[in-house]
Amino acid sequence: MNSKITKLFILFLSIQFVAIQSAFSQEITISGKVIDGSGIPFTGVNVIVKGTNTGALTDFDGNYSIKSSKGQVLVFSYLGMKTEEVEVAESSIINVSLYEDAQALNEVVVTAMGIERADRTLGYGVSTVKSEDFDVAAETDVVQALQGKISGVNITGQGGGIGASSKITIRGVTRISGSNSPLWVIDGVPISDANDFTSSRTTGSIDYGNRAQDINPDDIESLTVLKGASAAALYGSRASNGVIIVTTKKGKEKGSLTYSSTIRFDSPLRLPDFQNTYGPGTQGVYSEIDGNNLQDVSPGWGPLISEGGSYTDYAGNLQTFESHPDLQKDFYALGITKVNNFSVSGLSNKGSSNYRLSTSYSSKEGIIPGSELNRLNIALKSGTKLFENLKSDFSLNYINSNVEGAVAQGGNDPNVLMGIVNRLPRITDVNVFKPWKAESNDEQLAAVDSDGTNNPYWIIHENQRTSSTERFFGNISLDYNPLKKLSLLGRVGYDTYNTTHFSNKHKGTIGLLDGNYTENHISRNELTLDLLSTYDDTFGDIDFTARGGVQWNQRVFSSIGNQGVGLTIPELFDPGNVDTNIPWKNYSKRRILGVFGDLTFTYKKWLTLNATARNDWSSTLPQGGNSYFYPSIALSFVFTDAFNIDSDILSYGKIRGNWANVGSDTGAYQLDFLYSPQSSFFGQFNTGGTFPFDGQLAFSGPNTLPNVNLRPENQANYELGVELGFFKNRFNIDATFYKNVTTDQIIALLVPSSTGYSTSMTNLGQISNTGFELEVSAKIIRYKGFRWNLNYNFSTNETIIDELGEGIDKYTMASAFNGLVVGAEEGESIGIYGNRFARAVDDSGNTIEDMILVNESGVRYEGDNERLGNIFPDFTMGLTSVFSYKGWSLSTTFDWKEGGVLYSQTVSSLRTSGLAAETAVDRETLFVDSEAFMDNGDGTYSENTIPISSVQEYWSNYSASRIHESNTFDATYIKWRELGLSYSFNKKQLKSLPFSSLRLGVQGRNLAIFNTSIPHIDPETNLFGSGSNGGAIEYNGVPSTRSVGFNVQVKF
Amino acid sequence: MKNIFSNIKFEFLFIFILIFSLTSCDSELVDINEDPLAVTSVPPELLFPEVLVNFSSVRSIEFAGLNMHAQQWCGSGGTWLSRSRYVLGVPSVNNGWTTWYTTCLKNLSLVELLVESNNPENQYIKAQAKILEGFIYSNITQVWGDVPFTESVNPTDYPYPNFDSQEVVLEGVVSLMDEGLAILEQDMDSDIITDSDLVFKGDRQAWIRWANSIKLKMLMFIANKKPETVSSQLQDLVSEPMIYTNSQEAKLSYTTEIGNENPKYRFIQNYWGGNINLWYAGRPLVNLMNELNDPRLSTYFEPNVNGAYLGKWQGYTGFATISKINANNILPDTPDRYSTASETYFLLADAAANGYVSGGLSQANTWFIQGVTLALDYFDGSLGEISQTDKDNYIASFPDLSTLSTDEALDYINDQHYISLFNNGLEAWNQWKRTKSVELDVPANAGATEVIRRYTYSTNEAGSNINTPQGLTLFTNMWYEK
Repeated sequence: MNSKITKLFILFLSIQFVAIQSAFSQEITISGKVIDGSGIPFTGVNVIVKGTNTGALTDFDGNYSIKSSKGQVLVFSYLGMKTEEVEVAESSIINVSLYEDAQALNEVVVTAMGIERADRTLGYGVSTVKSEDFDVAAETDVVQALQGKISGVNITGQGGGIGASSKITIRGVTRISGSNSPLWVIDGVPISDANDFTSSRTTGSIDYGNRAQDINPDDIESLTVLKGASAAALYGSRASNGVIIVTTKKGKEKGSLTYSSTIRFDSPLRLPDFQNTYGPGTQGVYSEIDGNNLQDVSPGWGPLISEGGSYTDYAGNLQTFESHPDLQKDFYALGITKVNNFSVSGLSNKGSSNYRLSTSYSSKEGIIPGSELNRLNIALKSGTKLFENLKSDFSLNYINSNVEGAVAQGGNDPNVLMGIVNRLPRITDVNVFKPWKAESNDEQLAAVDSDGTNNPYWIIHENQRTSSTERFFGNISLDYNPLKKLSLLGRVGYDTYNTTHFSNKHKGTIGLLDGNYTENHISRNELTLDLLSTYDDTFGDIDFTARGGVQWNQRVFSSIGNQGVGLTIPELFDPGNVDTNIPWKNYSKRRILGVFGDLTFTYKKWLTLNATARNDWSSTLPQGGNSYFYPSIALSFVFTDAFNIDSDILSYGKIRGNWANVGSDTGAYQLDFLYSPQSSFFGQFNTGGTFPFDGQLAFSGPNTLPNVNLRPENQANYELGVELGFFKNRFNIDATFYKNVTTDQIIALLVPSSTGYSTSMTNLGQISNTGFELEVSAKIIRYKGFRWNLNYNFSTNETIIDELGEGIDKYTMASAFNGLVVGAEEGESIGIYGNRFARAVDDSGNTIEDMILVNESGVRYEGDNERLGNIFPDFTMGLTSVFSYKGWSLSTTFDWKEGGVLYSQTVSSLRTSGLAAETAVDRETLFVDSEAFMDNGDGTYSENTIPISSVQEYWSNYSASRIHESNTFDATYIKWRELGLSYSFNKKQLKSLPFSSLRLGVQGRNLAIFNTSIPHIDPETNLFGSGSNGGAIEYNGVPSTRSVGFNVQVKF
Repeated sequence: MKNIFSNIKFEFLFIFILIFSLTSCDSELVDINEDPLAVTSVPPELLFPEVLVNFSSVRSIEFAGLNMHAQQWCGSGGTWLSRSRYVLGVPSVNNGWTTWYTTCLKNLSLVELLVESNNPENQYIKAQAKILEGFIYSNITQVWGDVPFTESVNPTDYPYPNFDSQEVVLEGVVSLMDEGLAILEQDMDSDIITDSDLVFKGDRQAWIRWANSIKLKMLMFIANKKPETVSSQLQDLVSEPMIYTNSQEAKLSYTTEIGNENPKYRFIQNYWGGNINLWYAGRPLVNLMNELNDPRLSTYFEPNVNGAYLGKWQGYTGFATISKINANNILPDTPDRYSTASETYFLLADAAANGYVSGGLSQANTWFIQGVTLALDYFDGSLGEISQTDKDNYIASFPDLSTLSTDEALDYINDQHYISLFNNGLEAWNQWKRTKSVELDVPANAGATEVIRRYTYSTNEAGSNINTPQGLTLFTNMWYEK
């Protein structure tokens, strides 16, 4: 199979680069004037002869002149304006009006299955991001680059961890179990966005990122987000989470060569506010008599540092207390990102063939010393019109991505770094940890704590955490028009990657002194075959398009790995060099066969009815119940055209609405009751061992109770939208209201362990999302060469669990620590649940919200496990402003997330350990927690009068990690996401240079956070990564980064 | 160009053929939904090692803190100081509960199911599963008290199992033993699990002995509360085969083979390079042994800097003069001891002294001396071996129990029983709860005014089972406590 595809690719390659021809004929000089929609002369418009290098710019009066010949086409373009093309005829004067590039006009949008449709005929809302938008801040991760730019999406990054994942969900979550990630489609072909992992999240795992990060933003021509199921319905069972469609760049002009280079510097955006007054100790005392030492006491509850006490440091030297306020700053390195893009593109064969070859190399050094990511992207795309009625397209992408020094987050893993770095006493000189390893042997020096806390530099330098990924994806397609009105498209798309996760604990790592290594080879591939026929016709005022097709999709996942425990030669990571090997193997294969049809009727260009239907057969569902049908219907009505409204105020108006019903299958092998061989058994503190045990093999039944009667999930969608353009489309509004209801979710339901199973596969529940999206774009100033555009978007989405199954109070979607979970509860949005402070109860046993209780010591204590808040924001909005004047462009983006909550383990840790700045305030002053109440023991309560015994006692109880309420904060923030200033040289300035264009820019990303009530950390973080439905929990996360840099782009 | 055209036609045709051939051969989508890495049926014995090894992993390391609750050990820092202070660690509690119910009891129920559906004549295998199942339930109830028993591990009929009182569980374990014994005591043409039986290698008589020993222990818990109902059963047991010699004891033997080592040993290797770092002696045990001049002091503990044996009050810090646990007790092949011969004798002595069985204090004395002797002999041939002189002197130091009052005699019996359970925190903790023969300390810095009696329920269970009892605390007595 694979070799056949390879052969096909090669065959295509050879065809794509047949003769490159150019044509010459009699040249004449064309001149003219370019004006904008309001009649004002347009300066700086790019005029080129299509398919050649010949170009000109309009002057201050909008005039240009250019040499061309009859039959050639002049292209007039300017950023933000709709490009005009005029064929050179007899006249040597060509005057052109350029209009705003309003999305409401005749823009063509790439929709499901790669079908291009006029925006005005769409019955659903889509959001599109263009290549220019990715240029502004030159972000290397395409998901991150979408922050603040479009409505209806929720994006959460992972702080400053190198190569870490970015989670994106579209219009809320539609299921409480299973994936909520959208489908990624590149040039018509689905690709994997998996977030592969090697161990569990909570016990300390390494986030190696989600694979959408393999996409090179510089290759993107446009990115369209199909938000509603109606838009995506042709993708059938994979449509329910929305679809992100990426169209890559292709050759457009005659031979050009583009090079761009970016360098960026990263530093922590926000570090905790530490106190620098108190040293380590307990209750203000530090004494090494009686065997106490740094590891037995709290890092921040000791005496005043200024008292100059003495202590034995981690390296065993006697030292005097001295404050090191820059401890953390000294620890982080300056991150450096370098991105170099190079591309050759053009047209040949009189424009009937196009090609583009690009290579991009990004190298990123993170703020954690020694962490880095290197990525090479090579993309090749070409298309040829072989005959009038036969076109072929081909694209191939190669990605090689390597991450070193990825950071572990979470709990138990000795490699979790931030928990160590943020908990060092303020008297610590970071240099005490150097050297970290004895020269003579592999012994660790200056360990923090023999009970499991390693020297941070030991973790960084001795314990590797790497991933290396090699990926290919691409497609070949043939588009054949046997008749004028009929076209047939055949397409083969293939995506395959192999990624290797490697980590080791060097011999001498506390927690695993004998050392180990873990190697996991993961491979995924996805093959998609499409056959699509299209018939277009016109009957009087009615345009009619009918499409029918078949899609076949197969996804294969396999992983094979080994953990070698107990290294003999320290740095030889070979199964033969270890005491025991624990190998594992995973495999799954699934297929979907879909048959679909699509009918579109357009009446007088202003009324469009689009109906689609798809039937899927999935391999993952039981025989007899594996076929399911997905219909959709959408209507678009351009009322301004229908009623001939042509006013200067309202220039464009459209109403659209749609309904769709989609659904989803489940994972492979969920139906049978299966026994699996076991290669290892679990033991806390890395004490697990291996089978065979004493020579005996072991098997186990499943932990998930399978279900032979699973049904496909079902999701109904409704959407209503309006698009309005005012003042000749200088002011555009696009508003959408939607609702989707998902029922019969396929869930691995957490069942009581006492049933013998951890989870049980079942169909249950109903979850609905209701939301509103608004996109506004305004061309505020158009004066001579000066332009000011504003783009604003607003989204609000409410996810409600309408129904869980009988007897289920709450469904745990992801578990964190000490009973802190992300859960779903009937009638509520998805929330985090954890222990709250104990509260008073009234006579009828109801909790009195305002009466928090203290215990005999006068401190608050742990009460019931209850809801702490919504994990999703109430609303998000983004604002982008672009000023441009001649070649200058100043662009900036802000985004705002309002509401939702975040639990922060870092805050808990800083406060309980006495390191947070607030714990040093009035440390010697004893007080009464006067807002709390005492339980009189007889059902009555009185105001608290018990003084705390110490400030340490107060904070260690108040912020204890077992009381989640006190460490949970409103997650609202406003971020200054991007700022970019660039200058593009004009043709005149470049006359003596070999460039056809040159642009210089400076840019910044994540420049500041405002309006946040969470202390010490950046609220934009997510312990669980993109592969989980968890969120709103921070646990030893790496600080996010602020970056500033500059770039240059030249075109030859 | 002609040539290319024909190629294109070929390719075009090829793509279409490819698509159609792939789609048409796909009529049986179901076939590919068969997991190539798992099977729908296995010989039942293959599940046994999974059960035993995971069961002991929890007993040995996940619940190593139970040694602190029994106050035989004392944690000086980190996790272990937390355990001394009754911070149980939610993940540990959850892991213990989940492992014992899902990994262990579920697979045992599947053993019975597989026998029943594939080879119903192999009744001995069912008996082995029942006895082990009973022993696991006995462990579960000793940690949590009231637990799902009659409705557990039956998701179809009981998706939300009710919790049974400890009384029901203890009596249920006795019934399981009776069921197992009823099968094993018959001679029949049945296979028995041999190689995969990591405890007795398929020795039918050994399983009979173990079942009776487990039954004895359960009956003694029940007798604490309602002696009249079980004394005749106890009396009957006296003449049954039980674990009477050290070589007969039920245990999971770890080996020196890496990957099959004792989990505590693995732990001290991983964290402390094979030394004992944060595990110190608990005060009540050391005080008791000092008082008795017990020859096992040097077997159990390291002398402190002054050459003496000193234990620590749980929850306090400052360990400069405290004795550490002797690393000889934590070797790669140190077994997880399920039921021992000395335990049999101490329980019998207890039963006789209490009058549950006949023979009175003089019979109690005989069994007591046999218990102490077996407890001391256990270390023969190991690094902690006790010299014959020390053994003789020690045994000679006890008064004849028949000369004492019942309470005094019981004190001797139960103190010795408690001492013998060193390094077996679960049994030692419950021996204390049952008899209170030694006085335990209320730990410092634990927010406690009592000694811990039970663990909190797994948060996973509580979060998913509406029948989980509310209102129990760490200090709520076990049902069987007097």
